[in-house]
Amino acid sequence: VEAAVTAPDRRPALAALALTAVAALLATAPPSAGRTASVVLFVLLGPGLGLVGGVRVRDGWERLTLVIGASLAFDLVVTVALVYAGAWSVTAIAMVLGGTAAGGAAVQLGAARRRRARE
Amino acid sequence: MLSRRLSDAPQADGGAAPSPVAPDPDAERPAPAVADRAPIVIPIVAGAGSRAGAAVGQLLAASPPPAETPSAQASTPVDAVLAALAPLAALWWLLALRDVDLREIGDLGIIGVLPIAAVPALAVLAAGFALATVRGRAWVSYVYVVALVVALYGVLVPIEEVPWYNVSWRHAGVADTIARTGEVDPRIDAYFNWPGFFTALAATASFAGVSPLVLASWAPVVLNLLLLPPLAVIASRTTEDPRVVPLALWTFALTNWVAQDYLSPQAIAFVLYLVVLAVLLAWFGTHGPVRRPATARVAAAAVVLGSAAAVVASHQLTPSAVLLTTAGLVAFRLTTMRTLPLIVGIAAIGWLVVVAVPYLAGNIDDLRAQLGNFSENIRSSLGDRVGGSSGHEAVVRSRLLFTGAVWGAALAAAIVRLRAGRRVGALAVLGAAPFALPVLQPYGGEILLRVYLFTLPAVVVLIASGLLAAGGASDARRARLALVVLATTTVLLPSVVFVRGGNARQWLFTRDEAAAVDRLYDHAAPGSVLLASSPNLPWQHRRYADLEHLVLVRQERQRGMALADDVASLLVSRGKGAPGYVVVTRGTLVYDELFGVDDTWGSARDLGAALDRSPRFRRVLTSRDATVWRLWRRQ
Repeated sequence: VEAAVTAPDRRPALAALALTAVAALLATAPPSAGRTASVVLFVLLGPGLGLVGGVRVRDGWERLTLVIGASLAFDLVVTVALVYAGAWSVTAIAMVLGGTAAGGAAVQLGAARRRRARE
Repeated sequence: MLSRRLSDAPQADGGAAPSPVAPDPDAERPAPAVADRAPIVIPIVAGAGSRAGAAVGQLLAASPPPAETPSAQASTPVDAVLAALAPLAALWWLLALRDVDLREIGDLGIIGVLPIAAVPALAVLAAGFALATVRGRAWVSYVYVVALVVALYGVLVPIEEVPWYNVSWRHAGVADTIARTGEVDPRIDAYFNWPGFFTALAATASFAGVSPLVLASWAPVVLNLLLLPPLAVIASRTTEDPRVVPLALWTFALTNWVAQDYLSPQAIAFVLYLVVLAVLLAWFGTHGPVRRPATARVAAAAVVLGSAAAVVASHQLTPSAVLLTTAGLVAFRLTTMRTLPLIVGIAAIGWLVVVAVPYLAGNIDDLRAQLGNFSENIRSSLGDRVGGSSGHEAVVRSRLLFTGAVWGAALAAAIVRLRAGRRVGALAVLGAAPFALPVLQPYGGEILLRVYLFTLPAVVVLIASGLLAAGGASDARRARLALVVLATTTVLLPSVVFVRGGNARQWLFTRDEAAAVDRLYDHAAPGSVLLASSPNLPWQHRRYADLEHLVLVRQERQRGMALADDVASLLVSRGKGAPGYVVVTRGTLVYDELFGVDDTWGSARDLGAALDRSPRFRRVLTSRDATVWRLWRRQ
């Protein structure tokens, strides 16, 4: 039986915050390859990093699989839910996805801080 | 019936750093690759004692064994140089392809116009990966995998004038419609009955401030990169040798010829399909269970269920593949998540009868007739696709040969594993379950393509395992392993360029064609009917729902003026008073040349000639690569 628990890792949370911040900063900039790339990176990884980035897994591939799966699933389910609810709004979607990424990252950073304080 | 609505068609439709993803010196499965524990000297190569032999031996050798040297896992400058060569080779390849003129691409596709200057880049990638494999530096191998994905799946980017593949244009139009209206009208066509991918695409493009079409060019690269993590997890959880992982990813990039990785629902659904399987095997597998915190297991279960839900809302076929494969894993007690198939089945059927009601109502007879008709569904995927020009037929036959050879190699590798007493259970399920898909439906004649795609995760792991077995695990046989990997890559690399890129002539459009269609869209009144002789043109990327797009089918036997009159009647009846247009582009002419014309109404060229002679039509736009006629006299 293998042990899969690792010490808290702040990198996913910091990555989520960075992706969210860059995408938000570029949101009002004119369309460009940089803005498109930052948005695509955010959509593919941001929500997943916020949702499951705090799951302690040592294998990098497994962690990335969870992050990608969570991001794509969250993107698709949220956008479909909003469109069927008649509440389609790009701003609302951005707030939900960005809030999930940044909020999840904040929770992870807080948990890591409390854990370090206890130790 | 003279025409069909285009969009009504079925969706045709290791070493120093353990991982490049999250370097972690305290890896969960710390067993080093066999090559990592090897002595420096490689007798078979260095035994001759010559300087050249010694140099090659040095290059092939990994660090000293960990037991002797604590820093054995440290990368050497050789590793860094080797890794740096990979992105340089990919860049070299892409730059060399900038000289290709898409008009010079013939029926054999990319391979026929490949510049000689591009070939050394592939040689560097092939040789570099073989070296990285025998040196046991997984992270270097992963750099090569990423470079190969960029090179192979970004191959059209330097060549294209506008985004490739007409179906990407159509998908962009669906997302554009949702972004503009904020609604999903399931009566429009099948896409609006499974809108998950399109709503996410609409949101992404809106965030970026661009048309969804802008995301099409690099989609195959991005989507294939997304496939690598779950594929790596599947490889590591179904085999014992960690060297299998990079080799399986490499093999995947060399065998994924089916081109279902364009901007499409099935591409995202396939990523989620692999995520479901990877998480099931890693978190809920019955072999080599890993002790996980409860919160981690809850999170993993949520990812599985969320991914399955997203698949159900996005694609018609992939839920069936998830259902079949997970049911196989449950049946053979390979996963503890035993209720998943039931959940997926209920969700898929529930979606069909509750949300996709318009689609079901319009297609239930066809679906019923196809269900269980295995042989006919296979025939439509096989025999019906062999034809067209001699060049195109050579491409199609080569694809069949390539597919058979890949499946054959996987079967042989599975037999070798069984004889060696190694487990194949999960790989057998992952490789066999998709073969039940043709029982359900022909999927527009594409079901065998999809079966190949869904079997590919197991197939590439088996082939990678077989290559390592053929290369030998002993330290003395590294040169043999290098030769095996190099020889395999040498065969597969040009083959996949040929079979995957064989449709490049059809896929690529000129700026002129796209500009002509855009001018038509700028001027056409709402409700106008646009007709083309084939679906192969860059259209439907906007005004998807407020214009009607029609494609002539081969049931009309009229020619000449009679054909023009029939087309006029069709435009009048479908337009209900709105203007009608006929579009002939370079792409539609290429389509006829590639796939052939028959003895019915002829070709796009014949259609254009008939319209020119008819007093009922007038040319309203003529450019180098496109002509547009407007219906002038309705009677």
